[in-house]
Amino acid sequence: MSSTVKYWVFLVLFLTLGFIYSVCNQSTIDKNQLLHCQVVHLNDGFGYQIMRGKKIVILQEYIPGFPGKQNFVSEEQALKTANLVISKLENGESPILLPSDLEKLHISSKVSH
Amino acid sequence: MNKRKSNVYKITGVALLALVITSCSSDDDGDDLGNWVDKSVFDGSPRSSVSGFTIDNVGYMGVGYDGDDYLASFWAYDMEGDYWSQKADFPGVARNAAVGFEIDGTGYIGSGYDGVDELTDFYSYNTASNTWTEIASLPTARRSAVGFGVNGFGYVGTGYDGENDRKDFWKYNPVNDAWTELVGFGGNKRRSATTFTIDGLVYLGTGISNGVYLDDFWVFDPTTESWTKKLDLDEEDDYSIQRSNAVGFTLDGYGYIATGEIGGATNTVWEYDPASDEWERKTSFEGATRQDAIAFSNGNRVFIGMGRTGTLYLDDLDEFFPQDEYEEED
Repeated sequence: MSSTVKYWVFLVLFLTLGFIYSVCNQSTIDKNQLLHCQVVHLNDGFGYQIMRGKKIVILQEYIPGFPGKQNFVSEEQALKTANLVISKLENGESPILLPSDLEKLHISSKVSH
Repeated sequence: MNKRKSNVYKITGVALLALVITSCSSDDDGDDLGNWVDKSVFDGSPRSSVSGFTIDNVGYMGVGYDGDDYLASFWAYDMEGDYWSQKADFPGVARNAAVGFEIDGTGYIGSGYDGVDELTDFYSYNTASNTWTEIASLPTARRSAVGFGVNGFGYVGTGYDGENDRKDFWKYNPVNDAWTELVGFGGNKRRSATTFTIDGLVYLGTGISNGVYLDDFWVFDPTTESWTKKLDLDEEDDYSIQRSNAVGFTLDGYGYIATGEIGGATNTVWEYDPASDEWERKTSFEGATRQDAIAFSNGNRVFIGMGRTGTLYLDDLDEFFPQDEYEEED
C-alpha cells in the first residue's frame, strides 16, 4: 500500500517537474523570438531599431519613406513609429510604412518645423 | 515471459536502427556542391518582381507586387549587419517588373508595369543622400526587360511592350542624361531573361517568347559594344538551364542562373564557367521554389530572396555558398 503511494507521489513529482521544465523552456524560446524596439539617439534627432530577441531586424536612422536623411524630431515620434511597425509584423503584415501611416501618427521632419 | 520481453527488446532495437538509417540516408540531394544559409527574414512582407541593385555591402530593392498591390517602398539590406532599413520611397508610380542596375555607385530603377500600362520613366538613386531624381525616360515602354550597368553606361533591352516581346537594346549615358539605341543583338526577342557580369563582360540568356523557353546564350563586350554567341543552354543532354523569371549573379569569377519559372516555379541553380563555356548544376535553392526573386551580389557574397511560387508570395532571404558542401541545418 505504502509502496504504491510512494510510486504515485514519485510519478506525479516527475511529471510536474517535466511540465515545469517544458513551460520554462518554451518561454525562453518565445523571449528570443519576441519583437521589441529601441530608440536610437543620433546627432540630429532620433531613429529606432526593431529587434527580435537580441538581433536587429530593421534599423531605421531616418524617417522611412521620406527623401533625404531626416531624423525623427522626438523620442516619442520614433517610438510610436517603431510600435506601428511591430504591430504590423505581429499581425503578419508587411513592415512597410506608407505616407498615410506617417500622416496618421503626425510624424513630421525637422524641415517642416 | 523473459523470452517474450527479450523479443520485444529485439524488435524495438531493430526498429530504432531502421529509423536511424533512414533518417541518415534522407540526405540524398545528388552530390551537387553549394550551401544555402537562412538570413534575416523580411517578415510578412512578401513581394515579387522587385527591382534593385547592390552597391558595396548593401543590397537595395524596391517596387514590386505583393499579390494585392503594386508597391513603391524601397529597402536596403545590410550584408554585414544582416538587417533592413526602409529608404526614401520610389518617386514614380508603384510598379513591378521594372529593371534595376548600378552605374559607378549610383542606382537606377525604371520601366516596368503598373497593372495597366507598360512604363518608360526612369529614376536614379543617390545612396549618400537617400534621394531619387527623375532622369530621361526610356524611348519605348516595356516590362520584364533586362538591365545592367557596365563601363560607365546603363543598358536596357528585350522585354514586353504590352503587345510584343522585344529584342531592341538602349544605352543610357549618365553624363548627358540621354538614351541611344544599341544595334547588334543577334538573339531572339524575349521577356524575363537574365544577365550576369564577369570581368566586365555581360552574359545574357534564358527568357521566354510565345511560350518557348529560349536556349541561346550571348556575351556582350561593352568596350566594342558587340554581342557574341556562346554555346546553347541545351548543349549537353543533362543541362536544364532554360527558364524565365530567373535571377542571375556573379560570385568569385563564376556566373549563376538560379530559380525561375519553367512550367512552374523552380529552385535549381546552374554555375557558368566563362573559361570553358560550360555549366554545372549546383545545390538547389534551399527555400521554396520561386520565380521573380531578387539576388544581391557584391562579387564576394550573394543573397537570394523574395519572389513567388504560384500565387504564394515569399519573404525570405538566403545566402549562397556555391563551393561549400550542403548542410540542411543552417
